[in-house]
This record gives sequence, C-alpha cells and structure tokens, in this order.
Amino acid sequence: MVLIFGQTGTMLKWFPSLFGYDIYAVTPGPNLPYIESVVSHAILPAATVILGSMAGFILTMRNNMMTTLDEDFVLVAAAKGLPGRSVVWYAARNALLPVVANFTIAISLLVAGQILVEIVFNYPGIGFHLFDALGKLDYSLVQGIFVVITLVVLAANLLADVVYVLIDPRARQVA
Amino acid sequence: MTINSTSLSTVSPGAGPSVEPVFHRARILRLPRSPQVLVGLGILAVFGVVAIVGRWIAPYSPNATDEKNWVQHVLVPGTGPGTGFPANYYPLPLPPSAAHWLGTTVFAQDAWSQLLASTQATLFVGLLAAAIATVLSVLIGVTAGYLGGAADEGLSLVANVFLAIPGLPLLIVIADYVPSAGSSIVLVAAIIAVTTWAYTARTLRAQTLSLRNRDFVEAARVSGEGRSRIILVEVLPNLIPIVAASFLFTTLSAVGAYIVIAFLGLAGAPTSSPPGLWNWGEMLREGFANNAVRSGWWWWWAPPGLFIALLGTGLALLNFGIDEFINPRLRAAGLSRKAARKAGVSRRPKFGMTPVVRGRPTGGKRAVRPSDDPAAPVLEIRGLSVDYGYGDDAVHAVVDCSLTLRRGRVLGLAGESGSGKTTLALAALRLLRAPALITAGQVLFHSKPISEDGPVGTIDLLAAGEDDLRAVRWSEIAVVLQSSLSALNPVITIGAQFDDLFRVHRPHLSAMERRARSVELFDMVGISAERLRSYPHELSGGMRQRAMIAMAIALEPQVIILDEPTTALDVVTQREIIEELIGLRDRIGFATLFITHDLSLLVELADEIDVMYAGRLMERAPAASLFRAPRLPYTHGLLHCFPPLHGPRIAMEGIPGSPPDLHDLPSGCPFNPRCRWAMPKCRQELPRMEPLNGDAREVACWLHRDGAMVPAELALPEPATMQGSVSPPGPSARPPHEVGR
Repeated sequence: MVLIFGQTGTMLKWFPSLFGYDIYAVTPGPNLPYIESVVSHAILPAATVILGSMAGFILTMRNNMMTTLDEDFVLVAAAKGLPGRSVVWYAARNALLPVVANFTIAISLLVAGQILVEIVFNYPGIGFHLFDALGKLDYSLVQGIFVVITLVVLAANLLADVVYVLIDPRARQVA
Repeated sequence: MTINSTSLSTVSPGAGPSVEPVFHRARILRLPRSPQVLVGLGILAVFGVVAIVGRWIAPYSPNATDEKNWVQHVLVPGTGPGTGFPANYYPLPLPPSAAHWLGTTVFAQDAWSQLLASTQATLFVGLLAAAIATVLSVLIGVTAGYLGGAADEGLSLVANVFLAIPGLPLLIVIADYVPSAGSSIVLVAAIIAVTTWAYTARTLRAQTLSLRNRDFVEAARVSGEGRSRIILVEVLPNLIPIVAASFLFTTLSAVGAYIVIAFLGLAGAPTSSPPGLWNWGEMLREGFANNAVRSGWWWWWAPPGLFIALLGTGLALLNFGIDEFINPRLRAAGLSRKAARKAGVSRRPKFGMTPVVRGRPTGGKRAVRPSDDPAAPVLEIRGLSVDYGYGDDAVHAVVDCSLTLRRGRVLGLAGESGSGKTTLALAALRLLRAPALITAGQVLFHSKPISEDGPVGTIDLLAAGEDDLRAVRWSEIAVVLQSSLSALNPVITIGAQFDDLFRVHRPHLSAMERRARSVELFDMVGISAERLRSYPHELSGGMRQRAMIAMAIALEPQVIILDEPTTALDVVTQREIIEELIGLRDRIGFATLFITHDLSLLVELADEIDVMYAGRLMERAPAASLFRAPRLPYTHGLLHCFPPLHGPRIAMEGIPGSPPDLHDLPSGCPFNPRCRWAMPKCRQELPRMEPLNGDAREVACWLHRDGAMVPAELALPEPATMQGSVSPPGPSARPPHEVGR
C-alpha cells in the first residue's frame, strides 16, 4: 500500500518524489530555497507514512469511543444539557487515553516503517542509510544506526509517558 | 442503566425454548453474520483457493519468456548509430491482451501467471509466520500471566525487549545476515514471527491476569484441577477471540513484512541461486526496478498492489467481526443501525437524543401559564412506551406508563432490577442511547423556574427541539445517577465540571462568580471548597455523591431525578445523603422523582409511590397507604422482603421466582407466574391501572375488580393519618411527608 501511494505520487509529479532536497538547484544551509526544497521533498514521504499508519489509530479510536460513549459520565454530560460538541469531547478526552498508551508502541513501528518509504522515495533518512549500510556490509554504521533508533524510541516512550500523565490525572498518583 | 442482560437471560423454569443457556466460561467464537464478515470471509476464501490451485490454473509458467510475442523493443538512449556505441535495445512489456490477460513484464513473462503463482508463497509465509507468532505469544503470554511472580517478570522482560526493538529493521538485518534466508520461506516466516510475537503476548498476558482471578478459575483451582488443565480448559477457551483477532492481524503484518523483505531483494529472487519463490513483493521489486511506474506499465505493478489491498481488506473485515464479538457494544451499535434502517427509523440516531416514533402528533410548546397551585403538576408523563431494539426483536422495556410529579413533592418509583424504572426516567429526558426508541407518549413539563429565568409554560419534552431540550436539561430537570464514580468525568477536576454547567446555562456569570457559586454549593453539601480542585478518583464514594448532588442543585432545577442515589453507599452515608437531600429540598423546593428498589427507604421519603413491574406501572398510592395497606400482590411481596426493625415479628416471604424475561412475558398479568393469588383471569387478560377507593390510589390487579375475593393481606385498612396526603396541602410550607412523620 505504501508503494501504491508512493508510485501514484511519482506519476502525478505534484511534489518531488526523490531525494531529500533538490541537489542541483539549491545549496544546503539556512536559506529560503533550501528550506522550501526540503519541505516539498518531505511532503510525499510524510503523507505516505501518515496515511499508512492512520488507519490503525482510527480503528482503535473508534472502538474506544464506542466504549466510552456508554459510560455514565457521558450520559451525565448530555443530561447537563451541554451542547453535542462538548459531550463528544467529554468522551473523546477519555477515549484518547488508550490511544496515547498505544502510541509508545506505534512509535517504534513508525521508525521502522520508514525504511520502505525512504527507499521508495530515495529519501536520505535513517532507514535508507541502514539499508544502504547493510548492502555494503558496513556493520559499524548498522550498529550506530541501531543505537540512534533505540535512543529515539526511548525518548518517544518517555515523551508519551509524560504526555499520559498530563492528560490522565489518575496516573499522577502512582509517582 | 440499560437492561441488564444477565437478568434478562435468567428465566423462570419452563419459559420459552428460544432462550439459550448462558455459560460463563468457554465462550465459543461465533461470528456475527454481518455482510462485512461474509465479504471478508469470501475474499479470504478466494485467496485460499488461488493460493492452492494458482500454480496449476496459471496459463504460463511465471518464469517462461514469451519469445513469440516478444517483439517490442526500444533503443536505449545514447546507443546505436552515430553515438559510437553498439545499438542496445530494451524490451517493452506487452499491455493486456487475449494471450496475456494482464500483459507481460519487460522480460515477456506473463504477469497474470506470476500473480497467481505469487499468491501461494505470500499467503504461506503470512500464515506460517502468524502461526509461529501466535503459538509463541500464547505460550509466553499465558504462562507469564497465569504463573505470575518471577516467571512473569522474566517473560515480560523478554517480551518488552522485543517490543522495544523496532521490528522491521531487525527483520531486515536478520534476513540480510542469514545468507540462505532468501531461498527458505520457512526461515523467512520464522524471522517474521520472531519480530512480531511480543505485542500479542503482552495482550494475552494482561487478559490472563484478569482471567485467573475470576470465579470460575478460582473454582477450578479449589476443586484441585491441575495447573496445565486449568490453563487449557478454563483459561484458553476464553482467550480464543483475542487469539483469533491477533492471528489475523499478525497474518496481515507478516504478509506486509514478507513483501517488504522481498521488495528490498532480501527474500531471494526467482532468478537467483538457489531460486526464491515468486511473491507479490518480488513482482513489485522487479516492476519498481524496471521503471514500471514511470513508464505507465500499470498492469505490472498495480495488480500485486491491488491483491495486497484486497487481502488486507478481507482480513480487516473479518477482524471487525471478531472485534464485535469481543466487544458487544460495537455489535450493538452495528446491529441497531441496521435494524433501525429496516424498521424505517429514518432519523439518524443522535447521541443524547433518543429518537421518538409515535403516531399521535403533539403540540410542542404551549403558552399556558402554569397554575399557581403550589402542588400543581410539574412533570407529567403520559402513556410513555420505550422499546429497546426495532421491529420484531424489540423489547418493550416500558409500556404505557403515566405518572405525575407535583411541585415540591417526592414521587417514589420502586421495582426490581430490570423493571424499567431507570429507562422510564431517562426516556422522559430523551437520554436513552440506541437502540432505545420512544414509541408512544408525552412528557409534559410545566415549567415555572424557581429562581433565574428559564422557559415558562408547558413543554412536551418529546416534541421539543434539541435546543429547547438542552435548555431544560439540568437547568430545570437534573439527574443524579447511582454510581457517582462513573458519573463524573475522570480526567477533569470537579470544579471544571461545575464550570461547564454554569458556562452553558448561565453564560452571564463571570469566572469569579462561577467559582463563588461552586464554593457555596460545596458548602451546602458539606464538602470543603478545596475539593473543587480534586479529580473524581481522589474523593470517597460519599463525597462524590455529595458533589453530584451539589451539581444537581447548582442551577436550582424544578425537578431532580434521583436514580438510586444511595445504593452504592454504606447505610450511614446513605442516611446522611438522604437527610442532606431532604434539607435541600425544603430549602430550594424542587420536586423529586426518587427511583429505588428499596421500598422501605421510599416509605419515609416519598409522598406517593409508584410500583413498577416488567415495564408497567402496577400500583400507585400515597406512601403510607402503600406501606401499611398494599393492594398489589407484588407490592406485598416487596414489602415483605425487608425485615422491620421495630414492631411485631412477621414472616419474611419474599417473592418466589425471578424477574420476568422482557423478551417473553407471560400472557395476561406479567406477575401471574409468581403471584400466590393468581386467578385464571390473570393468565388471560392484562389488568389496567384503575382507581381504587376514589382517586387516592390506583392498582392494576384483577383481585380488586369485578367483585373478586380480595385476600385479607391485600385488604388491610388504609392508615388514617395519611388519607389527605394527595390533596393539595394547606398554607404550611412544610412538605406533607414532614407533617406525617
């Protein structure tokens, strides 16, 4: 599915679909054309990753919403005469919690999922370099990349835990 | 409270044959037969057949080069005459034709044959990897969950380590390190399984942890069953839906992983040595490597992509089915939408607005000034009927109920669990959720705001628009539910939940005023104002219920519906809360609809009591009359369930049998199978509520009609002191029940 997105994008040529920036036209550095080039080159790979990983989150969220809408406090929110939007927000705030908890796991999958996207788009990301290094038997680079990935996953887990404590007061007590 | 499914399915012996026995263990995976699941199964079946016979029905060998038709060549730019290089030709693939249904690749191989042959290896790897991963995760997850202690710690650690390692890079590294991996799809499947089992293992461990403390597992343990037998017989069958769901999910991710590995060229190409197997990823790799996309040779790369998407859809649809099985709420939502369409309920079910379907049109808002009589009706429910479900499957949870709540009075509504008390009350505010449907009736609210301005005049709540209804909710009619823990939003402070209320209904108040009012309210119910900053979980049960009551009176409503407000509390707290409520009622003067199964509580609290059974009102009488001289056999039974603390000893009788199954009510009076005085007529005809001894009380019972013999227990004399309690009270501001006590 990632491939389909990637290749359709290639055909339409709305956005550049290869490399991290236009290596011929711009000079790397803090100048506007370079930034523009980087951003426009990132759009397709990013959109692919987002579209590919969104479905799972939507499903989890839908299931959680179904469960949460049955809770008493949502009924009370409706009984309080709050407008429909607020009622849904009451439920959504609570339905979000398991999704955030799942996010920690999803992050590692996302980092991993990039490899294919980066190869399809020839995007010079960490996954691309990992694959490149493997092909060239550059094992010290492979090890380095794994350290970086591990650090990113750890940092993301920490961040998710912090965010979870912020949005769920019940998690605050345990600490 | 919705209908309690357990009480519905426990049926008195000999009831209808349609009722299935309910086993609390060994839930067998029975998928709902929704179109989704059928389509999913269909897609998977087609893939299964293709995977098995694909090799033989393929018109060509996937590796065969069609020499005869390979005629299209194109000159490679920069070669040929005039360039100094020898002419070099690229082959062009053939577009779809009769000979090649999906055209050919640049190597003149038949794309359709490749696709068919690829399905086998792709599905094989997916299923094998999923099977290995499932076995691994069941073994480790269930063992860790069941054994606990050090084994759990160790196995969980292993699972967490695997979870933390990003799967795909690891997969690629392993696939790259193992040189012969490409040619052995079993090895590929094993590698995929090793990187994907941990997530399922964690889910299963959590589930086992919650299962092992369930009663039936405890029972098995006590009865001396062996550990492995308990795991196999008691625990595993309950995990089947989850295992099945994760098996499908793992299959899909394994297929994905295999395609990625193959796409990256790590699974061995069919041309390499030893040769790998054709698979969808390999097809995509060749297409991608030969510029199939840029050149517009869609027949080469689109079909494998489409097959991946189709397989994903099939697995996902089937997973929906399992999800609905695991989580009945999802199923209820799906079914009710379908059933609603079938039954012609066109209105889109909207949250917090129970749909009303009724023949009789009603007049909406009427500009009638409510009477100045201090005990005039404030809430009149007339002929209200509520169904759960639609069409033939509908359960008639409330049938033709009428009750009148007078200003400043307490009306008790009593009945067993599942008799429809809560349904009746919530239906009046249209708060019931799908699949509830109000099928008949009127709910007239004669509004005369106590303080602030609000709607004046009579409103039919069932005919009112959303905005009108919202203006009445809480501001004029508030609700206190049984469980205050679940009634308060767990993630925001109690103060913020008060704030919400004022912001919506009293928009003119400033933030300071809102806060001051909240503090004042908390003071009223005896909680320190600091608690406004607390979250619901930081308060005790009693405090939470007080907070709920404070919230209920915040806007000085004319009516408060109390739905078993004290059931979840201990007796002492119960007493305090009830006294609190009486005090507040005297101060503010709201009318109360008090729902409970505790008839003795109602007797000292309520002015009038309505008794409900199987969705119908069966007796209405002033509280003391009902208590001292019940006329309905059911009320008599209810009253003799509670031992009195004072007075002469009486035998506890209780009510034989269990609450009726609303799916399958007995003919005639719904109470007749449990009634000791049932007559032949009771089994044939449904009694209606009719007045008895003037207007003071009503009863729906044949024993009091047509000169039938009234048993002595049901013919006790009316208590003298309470005779006047339904007539309008005198000038005294004290509510009548206070006079009576």
